[in-house]
Amino acid sequence: MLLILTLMFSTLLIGYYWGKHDGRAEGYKRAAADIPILLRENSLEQGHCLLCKSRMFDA
Amino acid sequence: MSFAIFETASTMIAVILCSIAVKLIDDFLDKEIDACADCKNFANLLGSGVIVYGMLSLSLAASINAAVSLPLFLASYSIGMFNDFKKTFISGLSGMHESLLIFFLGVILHGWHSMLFSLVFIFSIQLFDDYLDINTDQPASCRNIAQRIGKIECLLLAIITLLISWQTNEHLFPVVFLSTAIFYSSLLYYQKGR
Repeated sequence: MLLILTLMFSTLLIGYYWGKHDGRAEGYKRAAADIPILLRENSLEQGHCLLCKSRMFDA
Repeated sequence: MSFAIFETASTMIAVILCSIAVKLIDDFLDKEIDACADCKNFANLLGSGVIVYGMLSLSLAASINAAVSLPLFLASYSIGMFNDFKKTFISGLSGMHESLLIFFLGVILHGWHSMLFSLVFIFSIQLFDDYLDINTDQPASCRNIAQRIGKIECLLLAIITLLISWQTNEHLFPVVFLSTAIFYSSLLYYQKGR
């Protein structure tokens, strides 16, 4: 019984650590892809371009 | 029957006295750190005499049940030293070397079985303590295992090591665990206001 419980919690720990590690790597990749687009979208909504620094319209 | 009750009660008292000794010595060593973090510390309450009470408590524990209390104390020392494994101590040895030396001395004096049970049990208590203290311990000190490996990982590892210590000595584990739980609950009640 004790051995089964130990194995159960050990598996849970390995699974949790693995999931956390992979989730962090996946999240970093997604953020790296999404953040430049989001920042550009945000800057265009505010009326200026983040890349060429020009103003799109007068506020 | 009455002998079994007496034996269990005496072991419980020995474990509680050993826990008091470890706590008092730990408070004496961490006096400055706890003063900076504004934590309750027995060394500030009892003054420099705290180390004498620690020694007295350990002597009483050893007089009652040396076979249980001394391996627990040596394991606590070993785990405590391992936290500062790079630091060089008065002996000229690093924390890791002192930790290993004390562990092997414990093995020679008290046997593999006893020392292994004590080491795994104390490591489990250390992990539970670090899990509970994750928000109160200073992040800069890098001594909290939960801050280093993660809160859930620390909790799961604490449960696993507790189960391993239970498997190592099924006869002694319930008594030692109950005594430690009583001592730790009393300590948490005392430190509630910190």
